Amino acid sequence: MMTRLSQREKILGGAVAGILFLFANMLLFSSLRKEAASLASKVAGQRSELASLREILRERSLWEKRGEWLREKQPKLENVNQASVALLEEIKAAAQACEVLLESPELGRPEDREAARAVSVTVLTRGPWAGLVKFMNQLQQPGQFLVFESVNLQIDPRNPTQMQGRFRIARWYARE
Amino acid sequence: MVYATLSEAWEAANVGLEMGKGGKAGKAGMAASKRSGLSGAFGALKAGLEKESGEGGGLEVALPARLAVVEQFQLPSVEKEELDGMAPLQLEKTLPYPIEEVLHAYRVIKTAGATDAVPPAPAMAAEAPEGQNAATALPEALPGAMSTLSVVAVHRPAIEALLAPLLTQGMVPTTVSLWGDLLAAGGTDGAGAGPACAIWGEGGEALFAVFEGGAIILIEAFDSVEALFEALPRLRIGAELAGIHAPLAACRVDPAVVDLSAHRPLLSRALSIPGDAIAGFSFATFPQRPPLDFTPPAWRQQLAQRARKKRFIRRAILGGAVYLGLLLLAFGGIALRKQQSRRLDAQLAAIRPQLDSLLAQQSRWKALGPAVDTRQFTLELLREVVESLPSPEVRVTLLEQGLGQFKVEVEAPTAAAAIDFGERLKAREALRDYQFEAGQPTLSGSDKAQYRLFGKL
Repeated sequence: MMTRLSQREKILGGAVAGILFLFANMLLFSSLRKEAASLASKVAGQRSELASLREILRERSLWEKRGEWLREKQPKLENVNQASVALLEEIKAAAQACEVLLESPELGRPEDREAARAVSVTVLTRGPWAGLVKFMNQLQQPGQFLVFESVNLQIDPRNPTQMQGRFRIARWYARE
Repeated sequence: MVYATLSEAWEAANVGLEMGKGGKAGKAGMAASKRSGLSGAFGALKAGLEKESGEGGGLEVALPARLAVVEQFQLPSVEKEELDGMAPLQLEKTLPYPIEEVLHAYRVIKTAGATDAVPPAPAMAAEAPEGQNAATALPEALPGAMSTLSVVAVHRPAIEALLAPLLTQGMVPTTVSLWGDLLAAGGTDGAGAGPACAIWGEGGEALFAVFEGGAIILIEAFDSVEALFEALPRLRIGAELAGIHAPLAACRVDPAVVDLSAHRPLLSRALSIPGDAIAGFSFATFPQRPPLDFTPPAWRQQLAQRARKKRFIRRAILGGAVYLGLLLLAFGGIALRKQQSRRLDAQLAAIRPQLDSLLAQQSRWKALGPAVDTRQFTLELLREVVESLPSPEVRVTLLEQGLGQFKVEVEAPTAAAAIDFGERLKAREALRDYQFEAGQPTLSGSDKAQYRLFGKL
């Protein structure tokens, strides 16, 4: 049987309804705010990505030229056994031209790098600063695809005017 | 504001409602008379009220004179509080029903005693005990002062019975006044401060009243206008007996009751009033609020409650609209962002196929950087290190380099020089992509500072 609510019951009921309404709205607006923030972040990321992709697109000709240059210039590994020997010969010739003494050359095995196959040679060197710099400059030129994968240079303890070094020098061939 | 005067035939459902629209400049003339029965009358009234309710108006009811008892009392005071107490006591002696059932109000017509020069004060609304109304404002109290009051009383059950059809329709009047009192207060303009009279009809009767200072001095009803005309000489004498010694200055006549063009000379002669001072009612000079209000307190409470409810509903609607607006704004904002995201997705999807090969080339170039990018050559690193040496005394003792990282050790004459080298190296533009780690300089046996620094991409 329905009974009429007293004034106090009405006030209490109104207060409870008000609190529930407030609570529900807090949840609603909180979730809406989170959703809006998440979307704003997503849109900002998309805009940034789009801007960087457009930037790349603007540099299309540059990257195409570079790709073409790599295809033309990067050597292809045709004979694995001969490659390291040829590299060693090349290093010896450069060292002789720069008056750098080579010691203990070691031929490495071909290894895969991220964008290349590397054929390496490890050598010890001894010589003056100037000769060493010249040696490194002569070997590492953009079209040579030679990389000093590991370098250890220090003053020769026996002769402080000389530098001794240990280099692992690799040529990065194009991957098949 | 909607005015309704109720005819004698109300109970017989032959309703005569006269409605007029009021404005700030005053009340306009009567607009329409409906004699189409209760329903038609209520419909017209309700429509008028709904239209007016938005402008702060309401239903004002003017009661017929037959419901009112008008008395004149001379009371020995000019103090409002005292008169408020004396008037009902005096009234109780003359009324045939208990004072608790009476709604009354009074006006001070004259004050006398200390000085006759004290003018009667204009009427003002005032609170009264339950079941009673009072209205007056008085000059300062003086010993031996006397006040002449015009007291109007109405029987509450009679009002409630008369207005029951309105109340059952939910139409509660905002004010209940006496039609004659409205005429006394504003309908007889042109009379100035002098006495005036009025003739009008109420439910088949013809009424004659004399007013002075906005109060009813004399009021009498007749079966017909002709009977009223016959009684005019007697009424003139009656007015003098009631204290109106000055000649009447004006007369206002309801054109629906008296044909002025035919009876103006008669009225002029009988009342000793110039012909041009006799004219129809002027609603323009009606008071904004009735001078004497007989609205029962219970009705006022009901109206106040309704007004509160209406205000609450209006605010709730406003609040709801604001809430809905906020929700729409929030959802709209999210929908807009989603649309932006979809559009950007579409643009990215359109642009990506063109870029796949370019990105692959870019990635390959970056991977081959140590072999093709001169900035990443070991010699370039060596140059950066050598150019960062602050003085010839600072010497590189060790340089180690691997793919994407290097270590350099220097020997310096002081720790400060060693740290200076580290700062210079870190500041090199070509090495900005490296993250550096450096320890504190240590002193060697030869009193030189040894300093070690790591860099990693």
